[in-house]
Amino acid sequence: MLRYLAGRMILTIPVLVGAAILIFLLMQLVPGDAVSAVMAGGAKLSPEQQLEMREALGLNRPLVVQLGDYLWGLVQGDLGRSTRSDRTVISLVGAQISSTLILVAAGMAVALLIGVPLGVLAARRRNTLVDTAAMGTAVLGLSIPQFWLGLMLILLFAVNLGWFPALSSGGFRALVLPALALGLAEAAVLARLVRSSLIESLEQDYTTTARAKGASDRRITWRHGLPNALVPVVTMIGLQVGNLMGAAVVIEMLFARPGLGQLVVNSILRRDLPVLQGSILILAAIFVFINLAVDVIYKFLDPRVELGAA
Amino acid sequence: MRNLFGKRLSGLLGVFVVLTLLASACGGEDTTAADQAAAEAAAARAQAANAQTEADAAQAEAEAAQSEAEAAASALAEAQAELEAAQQMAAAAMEGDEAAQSALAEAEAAAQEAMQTAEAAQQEAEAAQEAAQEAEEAQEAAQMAQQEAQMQVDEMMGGGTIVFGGNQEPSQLDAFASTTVNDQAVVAQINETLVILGQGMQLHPGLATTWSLSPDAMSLRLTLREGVTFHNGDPFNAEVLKAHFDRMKGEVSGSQTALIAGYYKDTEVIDDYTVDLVFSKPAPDALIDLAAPGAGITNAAAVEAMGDDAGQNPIGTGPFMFEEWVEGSHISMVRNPDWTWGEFSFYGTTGPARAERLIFRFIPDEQTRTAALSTGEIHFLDLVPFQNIAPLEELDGVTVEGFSLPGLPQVNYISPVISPTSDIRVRQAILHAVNQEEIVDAVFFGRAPRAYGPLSSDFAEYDPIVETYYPYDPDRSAELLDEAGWTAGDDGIRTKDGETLRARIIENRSWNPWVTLLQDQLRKIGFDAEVITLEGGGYFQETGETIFELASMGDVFGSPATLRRDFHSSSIGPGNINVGHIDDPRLDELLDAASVETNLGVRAEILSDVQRYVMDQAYIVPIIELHFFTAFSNALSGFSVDGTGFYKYFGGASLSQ
Repeated sequence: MLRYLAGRMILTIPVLVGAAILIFLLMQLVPGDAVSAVMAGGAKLSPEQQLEMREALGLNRPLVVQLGDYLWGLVQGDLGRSTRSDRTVISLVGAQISSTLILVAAGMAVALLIGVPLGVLAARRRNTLVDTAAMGTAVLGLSIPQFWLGLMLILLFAVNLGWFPALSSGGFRALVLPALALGLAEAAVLARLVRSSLIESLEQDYTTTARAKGASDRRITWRHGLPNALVPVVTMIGLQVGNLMGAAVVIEMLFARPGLGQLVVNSILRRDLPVLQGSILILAAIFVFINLAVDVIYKFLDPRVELGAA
Repeated sequence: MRNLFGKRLSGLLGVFVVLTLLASACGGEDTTAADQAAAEAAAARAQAANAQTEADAAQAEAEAAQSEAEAAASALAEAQAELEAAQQMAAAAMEGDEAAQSALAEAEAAAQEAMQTAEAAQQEAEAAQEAAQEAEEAQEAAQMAQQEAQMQVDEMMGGGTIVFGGNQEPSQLDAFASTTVNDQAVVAQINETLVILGQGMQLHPGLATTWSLSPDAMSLRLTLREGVTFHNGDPFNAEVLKAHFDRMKGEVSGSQTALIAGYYKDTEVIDDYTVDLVFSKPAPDALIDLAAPGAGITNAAAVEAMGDDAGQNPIGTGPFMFEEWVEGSHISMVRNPDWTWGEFSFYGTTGPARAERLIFRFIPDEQTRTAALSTGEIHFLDLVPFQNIAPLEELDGVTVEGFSLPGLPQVNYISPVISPTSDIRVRQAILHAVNQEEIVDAVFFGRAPRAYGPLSSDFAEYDPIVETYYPYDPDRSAELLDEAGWTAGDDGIRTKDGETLRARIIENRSWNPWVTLLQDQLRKIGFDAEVITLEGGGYFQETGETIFELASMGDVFGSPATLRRDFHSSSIGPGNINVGHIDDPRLDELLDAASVETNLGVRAEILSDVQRYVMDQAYIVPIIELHFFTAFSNALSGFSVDGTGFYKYFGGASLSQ
């Protein structure tokens, strides 16, 4: 197990390095750099001042040098400084990360609390109207753009009903609408997965055995069927965390919620490369770590699984 | 069991009733107190209103007395002239004979009369002056009464937290280094400027109480306000002001600072509260430049002590002190209890600020911003999207106000550098083909007036003749294009010698919403028009490096000579406003002359020439005059708006509880 874990951790490094290189190259393709972003905001810089600023930020060096310098710093744990405010990337990201993680966790909670029961319902009543309705809702949830869904939630629950605030900063009530906007699409994915996984599990031999032994329907579903059905779901959760973190960017902007999402968007608008890279690398690292945890949990859930097997 | 239950129930009921009575009794008291306070506030307000009307009446009397005094003075002058003439006649007559003698007698009589008239006029003048004096005293008394009434209202209405919904988070809060309007909107509450530009382009005293620009506009004498302190306790005086301006000798990146650094040379300290700002070239608009929030006075010593953190911990002299900055969420400021030097004519109070706390909340999405106003989570919303104006107006408890932003209107530059727009006939064809009325209706819901020239109509120097140029006439456009040799093909697009009549319209995302309609209007007369969308930094980089036929732009400024930065050949390149890459020596000449001309009449003439020239050369397609709409809760009152319409000041704002 330990060897497996160590191996996976080492594999993380090329993933992160690859991400850093990719972001760097993409930023070079976008017109404008940190200095032109400052001028777009209204600063009047003479050509000499622009040159000075670019020199100070190291933007005049060849691309390979800039990239190499950044990667070298990365290896030493130095994520650099913001080109806009000169604060360390670590402090900027550190201030925002908990807010995003809370949002992602809440979104996942919503997805589980709505998706799993919906999937179970559809599986137990499969091929009935209930099943069709449940799956139809799931497809709807998948198709609705999250941004639009967020706006509709604000309109209904904040403006018209006044149950929750439109702006999300702190506290539980402010978390509800963003979590819903984030989690409902995931709930749909989970519902479909739980349904098919549970149906398959209910067709297994051990289910027939349990039924033969006189177990009730409910006992079969919850005690025998679901635990086995949830195994692929757990794997899915690991992957979906990545989706949720990406969607969190949009949701944070919509609800004016502080977090890495806002940091990412602002750093793109400001062409603040170190902050952008730092934020995305941290998000990537979290994603890799969660998937690693999921794989380990998988092993505990299903002892038959051999980690690291082809 | 039942009995016990019944007892318990009635016991509970009894407790419940008692509690309810208690609660309503307490609540009742609060209500009465609040009612009383509200009534007293209303009474104080009425008093203030009365005092105001009296002051107005006194003012009118003073003015009448003034004109009487003037009339009396001219009568006196006339009488004196007559006296002199009479005396001359008398002198000539002295050398003569009888005729002269009688002439002398006549002259004497005339002189007598003249003297009497003069005396009478003199007395009238004195009486008029006394009346004027009394009127002035009455006005002062009225103002004092108003201020006292206001203070009573302040006491009753004080407190509360005002939440302002902004769109983007500032980058940093050091006024001197501020670059964006987001920075400056916050800085305006924390740092004060030497003078304040009010609505109607009127200057109010700020940290300077009197100012005097030398006739050659090379130096500015300022008398500084006494008794002013910074939020950290440091006093404000001439030395501190000099230290602030000395910061220009180092790094200059702030947008307003860079503007002033273009002509600032040095600060001469005359005494503790008198300075002379010395310029390297004539700066007739120095006062207007100094009124912008980006010219807010900072505490240079404190800034240096804080080093890199200065941008996150601003220190100023203003009505609000920085409290905390929660990244991605909001910036909060608290009332500065020492702020007692507010300029009453601008803020409506001498201070301290009525609100206890002011929060700037950043909300990137405009629909969410509007929703937050409806739910009451914010009290003030700037930059209402045009399609939301009507729905917000219908909302109870919300007021919508429009402000016009003077400057270069929203336009598309027509670049004379590249083909096909290098041909003036093509440029003129474009101007005749654009239907601004359609744009105003469809894109701006009729809420912003169309523009006609390079200067918005807010300025006194606006030359209305530009309204006669280029009426909407697509047939004339077709004629001009035919004349220029561009013939339409089967698909309607015009070509000439194998070249397509191309028009690339480039827009800065969300700032130029009319471009698709413009594209449509140009297609109709045979242009192969396309829209390219970039945002922010990318837009400024691209338009500076590449020349587009129709680049969108606008500019906001308080003084019309600033138009120079929109059309001068030195203003070409990334980050600069001349995105049409116009390099016209005649235009450069006119703009240079206007920026150093100190005689306002002459300057107006030069600017008139500029406006005509730009339109004669068809360098721009004027679209609309920039208007911003703000929406605010009816509970919020008393905020001030500066002369550019851009900045809102909350020193005098209050929230009714």
